[in-house]
Amino acid sequence: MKKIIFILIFIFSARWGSAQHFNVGFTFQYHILKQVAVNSDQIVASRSYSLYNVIDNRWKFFAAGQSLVVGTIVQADFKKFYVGIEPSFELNTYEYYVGYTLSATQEERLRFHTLFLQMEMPVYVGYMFKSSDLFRYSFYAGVSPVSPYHVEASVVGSNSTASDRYDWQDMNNVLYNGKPYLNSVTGFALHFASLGRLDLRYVHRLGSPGVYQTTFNTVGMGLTFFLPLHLYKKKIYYEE
Amino acid sequence: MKNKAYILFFLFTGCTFTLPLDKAKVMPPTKETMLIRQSRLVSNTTTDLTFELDLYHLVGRNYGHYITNYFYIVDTSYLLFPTGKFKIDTAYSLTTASSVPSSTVILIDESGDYDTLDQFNSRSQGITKLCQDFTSPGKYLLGGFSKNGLLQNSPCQFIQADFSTYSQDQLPLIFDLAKKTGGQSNLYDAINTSLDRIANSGNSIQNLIIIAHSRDEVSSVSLQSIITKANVASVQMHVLFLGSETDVNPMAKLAQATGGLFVYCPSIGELMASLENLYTVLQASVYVYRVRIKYSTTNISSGQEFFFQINTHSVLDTNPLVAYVKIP
Repeated sequence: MKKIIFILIFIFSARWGSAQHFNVGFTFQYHILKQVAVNSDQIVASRSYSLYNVIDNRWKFFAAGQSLVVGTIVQADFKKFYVGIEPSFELNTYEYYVGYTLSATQEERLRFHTLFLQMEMPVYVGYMFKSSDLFRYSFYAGVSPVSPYHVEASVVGSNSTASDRYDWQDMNNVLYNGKPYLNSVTGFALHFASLGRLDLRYVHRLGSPGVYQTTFNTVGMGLTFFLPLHLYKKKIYYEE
Repeated sequence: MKNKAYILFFLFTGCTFTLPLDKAKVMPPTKETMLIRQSRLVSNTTTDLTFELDLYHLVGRNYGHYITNYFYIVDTSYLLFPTGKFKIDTAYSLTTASSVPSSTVILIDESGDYDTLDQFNSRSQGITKLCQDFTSPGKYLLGGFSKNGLLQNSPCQFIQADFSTYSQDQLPLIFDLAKKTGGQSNLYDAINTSLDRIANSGNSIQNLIIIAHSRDEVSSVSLQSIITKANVASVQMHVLFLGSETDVNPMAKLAQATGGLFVYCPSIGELMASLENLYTVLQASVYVYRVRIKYSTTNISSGQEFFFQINTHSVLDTNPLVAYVKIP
């Protein structure tokens, strides 16, 4: 994976010279619609001797977690196409609900909370399919290498003693493992001239963190501001 | 620009590292627990009897170790029942002979419910730990017992076809037992059937582990008949009793009359401590604390049975010990 990233960065950096616009800015994103899904009926705990029942793999607003992204963006435009790189910092949380069998009629509902602090660098290619004097519309797709550098986990139950009876590391190698991973990114963007853009993006994790086939999907909004530099054009102006 | 891209790339990859998983398995909360590995009569006259108890002291994980022999029962005030005169003859630690269980039936009481005794179903985790502890050539056969409950087979229903070591596909079946509670206890009938299964297993060292929470209610065979059957077949019955103190005596007799281990668990914490350490205790790979007690009373006669309750609350604050001794 690192080789692919390296080649992509090399290609993009070599192509900057032919760009019509070279934009630098800041991006802020907030993801509130999420899905965590484990493709199994039951999950064997990583650290305790528990067996959890998979009860809820649905999409949720807020209840499946949130993501806050703050980053920089470098974007180069090539006529209707553009290439963007967003070195970013992300505060990413996931909430996953499982059941634990208590008796023939009762099941305890548990929530495993995972918090990541992570660096990521989405790299994508966009296509502007419509434009007016002020607005341009585009969609884009790419990949995002992600490197978590801090992970926290906890377990919360209906009873205050849940954290004593279940282990907070039980979802290690199920919902997280701390290793770098790759996301795919697609989105739709509304550009305000060359000053910024508003985009709706969908992020899907490629691969699973552990022994179960686990899906992570996220939908969120992004707001990007570009600095009014247009460095490339200015350089040409002074040379002339 | 290319150099900047390289720097950015290496900065990014330099941040990556893996987060370690603490692989030590954990159990639900346990309590400090004492259990009797064996009780035996040493000698007797018409006015006194001397018996020995092999004891283990199980300490919770918060103390950093599990089994200790750092305790002393030297004060006869711990001995509460029956009335009479007690004297501690000797008390010392020793390593007992190894007796790796090689063919073991584990029976879980499925009668009634566990709503007050184990409302959070910690026992399924403890049973899983016990099953995972069995290593080859040790094999087990796990089942539940009850009558007129949710089990499909009577007197007991096993989750495996035959004795085996642990495999992960057994885990859902172990937890499924927690959904099959109900009916009455047919403990003695279940033991009777299990003794037949053990006898056919062909292994030399044979054990029966019983996790019970009530006295037998509807069996057709008697307690004495299954004790005799177990002794003839050289099967030790180990009983972990989670339940009322009023039901404890027949359970103590069941275990100790066959040379088995007995622990009375007033709460789920003691049961979890026992399940966590049971296999180690049965292997006898740790020190046992042996105490010899002389009891004096009047008119001790042949065939008489004694149940001694030893309360260690003033020193160790553990569960009561119940010892069974029978005069031949």
